[in-house]
Amino acid sequence: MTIRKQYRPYLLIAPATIILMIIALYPFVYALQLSLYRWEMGQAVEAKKFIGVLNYIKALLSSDFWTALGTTAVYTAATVVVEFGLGLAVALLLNGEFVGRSVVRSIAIIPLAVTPVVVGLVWRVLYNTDYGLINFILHELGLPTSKWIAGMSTALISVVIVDIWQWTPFATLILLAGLQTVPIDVLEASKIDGASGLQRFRYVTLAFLRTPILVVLLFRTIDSFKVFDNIYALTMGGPGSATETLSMHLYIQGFRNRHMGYASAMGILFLIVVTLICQLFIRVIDNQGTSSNDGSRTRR
Amino acid sequence: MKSRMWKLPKTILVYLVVILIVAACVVPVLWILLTAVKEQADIFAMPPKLFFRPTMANFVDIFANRNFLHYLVNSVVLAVSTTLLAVVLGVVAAYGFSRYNFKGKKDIFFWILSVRMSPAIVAVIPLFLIIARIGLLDNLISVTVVYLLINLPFIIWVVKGFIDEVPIELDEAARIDGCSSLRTLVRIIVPVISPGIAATAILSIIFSWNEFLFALVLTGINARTLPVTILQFITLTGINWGPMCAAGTVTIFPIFIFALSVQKHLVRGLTLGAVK
Repeated sequence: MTIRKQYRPYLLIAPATIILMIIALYPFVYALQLSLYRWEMGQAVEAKKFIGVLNYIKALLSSDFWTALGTTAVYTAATVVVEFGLGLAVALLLNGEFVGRSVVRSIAIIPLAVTPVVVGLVWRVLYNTDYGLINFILHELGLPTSKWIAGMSTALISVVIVDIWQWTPFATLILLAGLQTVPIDVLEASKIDGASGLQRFRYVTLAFLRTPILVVLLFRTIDSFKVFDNIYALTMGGPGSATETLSMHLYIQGFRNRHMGYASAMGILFLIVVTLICQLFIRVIDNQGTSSNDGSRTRR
Repeated sequence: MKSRMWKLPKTILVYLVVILIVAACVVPVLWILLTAVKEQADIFAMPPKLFFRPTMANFVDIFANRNFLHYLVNSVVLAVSTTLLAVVLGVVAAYGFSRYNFKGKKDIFFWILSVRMSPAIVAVIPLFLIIARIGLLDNLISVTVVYLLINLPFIIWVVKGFIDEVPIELDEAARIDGCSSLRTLVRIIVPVISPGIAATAILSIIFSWNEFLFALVLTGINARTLPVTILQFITLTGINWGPMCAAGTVTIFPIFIFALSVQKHLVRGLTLGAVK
């Protein structure tokens, strides 16, 4: 009887865990193995040639790989910084009082709900050099127009703008939820104690926003780093390789150029980077106590 | 008084910024709707036409000539079936993680999170080869299972948070009455947290509906979903803007309704329960 009781939690988590192992762990091992071979999709399995870590060396020496990594880093840094800053500003604004606040709060999350591929398509229409809305408005205002996603030097910033449009609402939503947990009496008390507006924000509001801020930064960092859908729908990584992020680079190498072994090796390297970012995230939520109250609630 | 002098301009400024935010959020979405109901000639008109005779021709076209209904049904079947599967497996696992202490619990729990965080492109290369080998490419069954990569970790993490909030005394009372743990879960816990489960399930439907990369690689003519279908309107000879925007409109419309219905749970769902 006691033995059975010991196994009970494992029985509960077993179905989900086993399925995840089959669809996540097994492919990972498969990719790890594949990354040690030279093999092109379409070739016979016999043509698979063991080449050790040569694919990894090839990746690390490839300027295309580093360019893609650099593009991804720029993309991630730009989107995360702007989305966080803008998101915080909008959250502070929407936390204030004005007529129609709740309706505006609902409208402000619309971009979040739009299918990423459709977002890409919407902006393709808006960015269109000849008959897009954006160039039309710029032209009417007497401002210079741009080639946007079609221009070598403007393509990356253009896809960054699209990411900002879609994901700033995420930052707003989470930070607004955090702002609503700031107790008004504490703010009032610090006001009476003579704290200035900036001091109240710095020492009271930000203290309550710690977790939401970290969550926004980490979620956006990881998601931006993996970006694929928007880019595929907007530019396919072009023009040239101006918007070729890591995910896009792997897709092109693996599915267009059919270098499955090489793409797998880069995939493993990619996974290592994301895992490092993920570790950071785990440490953060672990510290703020998502699982710290387990002890008292758990049946022994 | 200084502060009173500033009040009016500040109020005006606030409303101006609010109007700007609303416009920025609404105009792009409205634009695709407008393009969808325009005739080809009006789409290319410069300056852009705001007033024109709307036409349903693009919608008729995608349903009549482009097999759009088939792909719409695919998306619905896929989103619903993967979500159902994920909810059943996920709620049971979440209960185990919430109510029991066991060896390796934390490691397994965080491994599940890392599955969710991993880049899809890394998983899709081996998955494509494995699924090709067992002959299930372009088949809704394989995509349903692969989507568990997204939905199962999500549901386990969020639902565990909901179960954590249910007092353990409820379980204990049921236990004294002789309920098994699975029975306790179904009879006691699930009814209490059902609004949370419903919201989580709706979010899972949204994620599946919007998913693109797995669908792009793993499906073809037969099992294709809406996001992949939309991009088929981009051809070598040009882009069929009208039908493409009509398809986009049909794709995002149901999601809006779903997203509005779970607004209250959005924060929790999107942060995997890290922010409540």
